[in-house]
Amino acid sequence: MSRPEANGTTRPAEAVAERQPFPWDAFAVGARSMGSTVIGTFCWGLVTGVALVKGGMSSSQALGMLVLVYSGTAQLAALPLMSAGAALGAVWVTALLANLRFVVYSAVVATEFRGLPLARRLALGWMTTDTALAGYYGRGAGGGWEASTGDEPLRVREARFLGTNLAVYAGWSLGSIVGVGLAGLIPDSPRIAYVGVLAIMALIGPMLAARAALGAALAAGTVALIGRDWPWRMGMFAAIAAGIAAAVVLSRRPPSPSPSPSPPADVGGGR
Amino acid sequence: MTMPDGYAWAAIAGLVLVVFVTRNAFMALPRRFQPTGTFERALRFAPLAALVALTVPTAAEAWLVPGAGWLDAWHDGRLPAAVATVAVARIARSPFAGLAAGVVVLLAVGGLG
Repeated sequence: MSRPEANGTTRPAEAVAERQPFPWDAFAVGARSMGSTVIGTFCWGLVTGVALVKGGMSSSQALGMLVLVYSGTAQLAALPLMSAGAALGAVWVTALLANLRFVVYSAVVATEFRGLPLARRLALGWMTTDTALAGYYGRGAGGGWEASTGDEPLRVREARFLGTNLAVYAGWSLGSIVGVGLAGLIPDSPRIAYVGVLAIMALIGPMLAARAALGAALAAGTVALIGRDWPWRMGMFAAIAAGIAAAVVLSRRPPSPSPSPSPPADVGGGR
Repeated sequence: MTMPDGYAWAAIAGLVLVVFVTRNAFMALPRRFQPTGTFERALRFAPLAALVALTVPTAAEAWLVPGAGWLDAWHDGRLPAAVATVAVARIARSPFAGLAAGVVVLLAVGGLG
């Protein structure tokens, strides 16, 4: 089941699909698949909004940062430096290092949505968050993390991915607006913030189905603990690299007994 | 002591660019330079690894304090709540059930204090 758009012969079918109405049902499936994660994103946005205002930003500055930068990690990494009035270059480099994982996501999104026009790929790339991408891949029937999405038409995948992303964006924006508004009233409670962390962990659970997923989680968790105090959140980047490395090792398949030279991309589904 | 407007908006503009560039680093590359095969499949685990890396250090914070033991981590409530969240979400295949279990454990063991 190679992707249809990777195959020149199915091009006309894709072109016909372009003229059909937007697949709202797939969009709704994507949005619904985020479920309680949206609540978690709301909490996360709320806490970040409070943090920005308490860090010395005005309400309009904080709202601009929350809605335009749209990366909680980048904002929380940059905030202490901005509060201290650090050099802009230092602010940007810190955010860049904290967000190196997005380079990896862009590779995922680029392969998943190759065939879309560049502008639409760039838009999808800009709004790709940890939780939305995880929800997109975790949706498979029975929670199977590896359930390949390659058999869905490109338009349906795009609509479903938009659904997950916009659900997260809505949760984030609403939460951060409420957070900025309430900044004066809400105490700095790390335990309230921790509910946001739990909501993200709740998304991890259903993904731990395949062996490769368990290995990736173990490796990432261990390295994240070892590197938790590394500067610029480099520990987080190392943890993601370790998780991917573990997944590469564990998802390498034994040599196939069948002589048919099937390309490796075709054996994604079963396990 | 509000942040000066010029500084804040210049910083924000640069951060927008940083996020846009990192999230699209591979997007503009020609197809043959984009990841394929085993590496592409493994990349699908990147978000899982990121979520684990984002949350595990916070969950284990009380356990990581020098001199602290499992008992301190238990009374802190965050680690048991995290374990309950992941386990219930995995068994029930429902993030919402997991979150509910985690919050209950957090409140029961450590309170909101």
